[in-house]
Amino acid sequence: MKRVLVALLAVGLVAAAACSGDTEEEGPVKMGFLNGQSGDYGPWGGWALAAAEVAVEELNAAGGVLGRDVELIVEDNGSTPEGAVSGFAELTEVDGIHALGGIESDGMVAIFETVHELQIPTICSTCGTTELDNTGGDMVFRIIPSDTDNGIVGAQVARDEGYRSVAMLVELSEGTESPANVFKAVFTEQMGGTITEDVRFNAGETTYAAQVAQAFESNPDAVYIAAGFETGVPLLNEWQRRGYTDIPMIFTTDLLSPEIAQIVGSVDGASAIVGATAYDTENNPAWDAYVPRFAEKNDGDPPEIAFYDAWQYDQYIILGLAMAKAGTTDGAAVAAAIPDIANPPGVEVFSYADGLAQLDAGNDIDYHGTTSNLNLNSVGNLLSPVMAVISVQDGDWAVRENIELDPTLVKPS
Amino acid sequence: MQNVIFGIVTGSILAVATLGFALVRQTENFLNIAHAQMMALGAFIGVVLVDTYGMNIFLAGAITVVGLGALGVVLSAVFFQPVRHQGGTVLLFTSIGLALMMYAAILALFGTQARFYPDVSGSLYRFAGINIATNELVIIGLAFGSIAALQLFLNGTGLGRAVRAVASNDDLARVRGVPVRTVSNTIWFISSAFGAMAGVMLGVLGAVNTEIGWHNILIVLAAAVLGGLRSITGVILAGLLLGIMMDVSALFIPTSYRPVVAFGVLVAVLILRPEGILSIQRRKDAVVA
Repeated sequence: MKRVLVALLAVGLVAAAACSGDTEEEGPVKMGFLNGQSGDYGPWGGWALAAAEVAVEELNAAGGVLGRDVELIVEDNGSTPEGAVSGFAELTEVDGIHALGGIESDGMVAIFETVHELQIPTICSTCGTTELDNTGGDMVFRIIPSDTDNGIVGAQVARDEGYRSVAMLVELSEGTESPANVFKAVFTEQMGGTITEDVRFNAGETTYAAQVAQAFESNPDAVYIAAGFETGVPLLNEWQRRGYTDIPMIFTTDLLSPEIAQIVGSVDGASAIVGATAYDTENNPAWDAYVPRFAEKNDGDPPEIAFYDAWQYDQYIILGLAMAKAGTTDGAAVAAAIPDIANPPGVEVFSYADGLAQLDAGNDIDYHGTTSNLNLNSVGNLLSPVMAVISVQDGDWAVRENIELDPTLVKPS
Repeated sequence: MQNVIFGIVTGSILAVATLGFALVRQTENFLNIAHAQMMALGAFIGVVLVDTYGMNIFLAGAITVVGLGALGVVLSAVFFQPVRHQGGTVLLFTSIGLALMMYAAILALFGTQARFYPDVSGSLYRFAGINIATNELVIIGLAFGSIAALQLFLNGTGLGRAVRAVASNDDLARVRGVPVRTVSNTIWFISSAFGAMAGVMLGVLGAVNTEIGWHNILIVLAAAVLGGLRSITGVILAGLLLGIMMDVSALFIPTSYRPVVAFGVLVAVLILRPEGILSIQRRKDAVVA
């Protein structure tokens, strides 16, 4: 009798699982948005969500995806890997999402295996981790530059500014160590630069006085700071408090927040620059169409420099078009269609509606987003990122100049 | 030498936080894990008063310290007094439960976004190759002023002597007519107020985030064990020693190992002097007794 009950229970569970599978091609198409709305990435959270909502509204305005409404399901991961794991479990097990976007480096690394196991097509719109340099392209795609690019461009900026010796202040996390390690290798091995101190520290320390002193007192030409926002503010308060303000700083993109710019901008003569990715805003119909809709949603224009917002928009347009091309929300089929949507050959399109029309007409398409042409290489990484030198000007971040990555600088082995 | 100054600042905050923790341990006979969340609550309430309501930092600090001192009395009456007779283990787990509830309340009330006190550094004083900011001098002064006031209270007032009597022998004090309930409320007030003060100080120097309590409780525990839970002087010395060792260690080993230094010292003390760094004095006291 006991065996019969167990068998019946097992059959019931299988049936329930099967039933839940049946609903995948019915009801709304569910796009997961797993993002740091709080924590280190919190300062960008509002813009990121607004951009994602603009994209989903565009999908629905064009008739939805596969004739079904699109629903954006938001989970705050608190900017932590733990939050990403629990948030992803909620999105997949409770909400039953069909695709995922919004995730950052630490979280992406934490859920990478599970994303593949569950076959959830994922676009990484805010993760530069070098872990994805050679491992994506099947289920995970990245539409921002790798931290390898960010590390190289940081070293390139340091070289071009004439810095021969640099001290490093690096928070111990995937998202901050990743570009910092590349920076260090390129700056020392390919440029002959000197690292006067390499100070690594944990987040959540009582103070950072000792760490800041160690770096700034090492007599460097500049200090390279790779830290999250929550650590960056007390670090810079310490920098200001101790009077190190005449030493220039190079930041990683994690510190590209208005609050950080205000702190630096409040000190006369202080200098902070970031070698970072930029948006492709010149003669780009996708950007031109996005700006007013974002402004309406966010009650203000999008930031002129890359604050992780427009990529959030691009990722859902790509996912919507990939589902349309695949004719299904099946994860493997959608993932297989993503490179076809993002890469040539095909008719170049700049919106979901145009892309859908071309697909309906039986044409291949090459979607050009708000941020770049979004062409992907064989491992799902952005092929040609747009880079820029960004600096604090009048208490705000501003693009100083767009630059090309120096082709003589190569990824460290 | 500069790192010694950093260590004294860190150690001063640690001493204030640990003193509150050790007071409850000494008189109520359990490790109050919720003490860390009182620190977090102090940091958050202080930053809201200063940043949102534009209050002067000292006024905001005073309101926070007194308010959370009173909250500590209420929490002890609601959560700890009803289970006090069941012993230290039950009280310990009650405090863990309370810590989790307070943590959830902080998340609900203040959200998960980090907050920052406006820069209140003031001037930077330089002498003999070292420098110290006004706010650091204020932190050191407030910490030692508060600790001195506590010493005066414990040694120079009737209620203070009653606290010491309860700490020394709860049952005997009760038999001798010491108002144990009043003493208990006093202890909870002082302990919570010290926790709140440490929280505000932590916030002024760094960032205020929801994890600030959890990040610091183990260091507080280490300082308490190092100092010997029954000695105010020991706790002060332990706080300073740990603070200085953690910050000076940055000169020799990667700063990411800073917490490891604290716990390395803790493990060494547990092995060599389980009663804390003032154990020799305690042994002498035992011989005299």
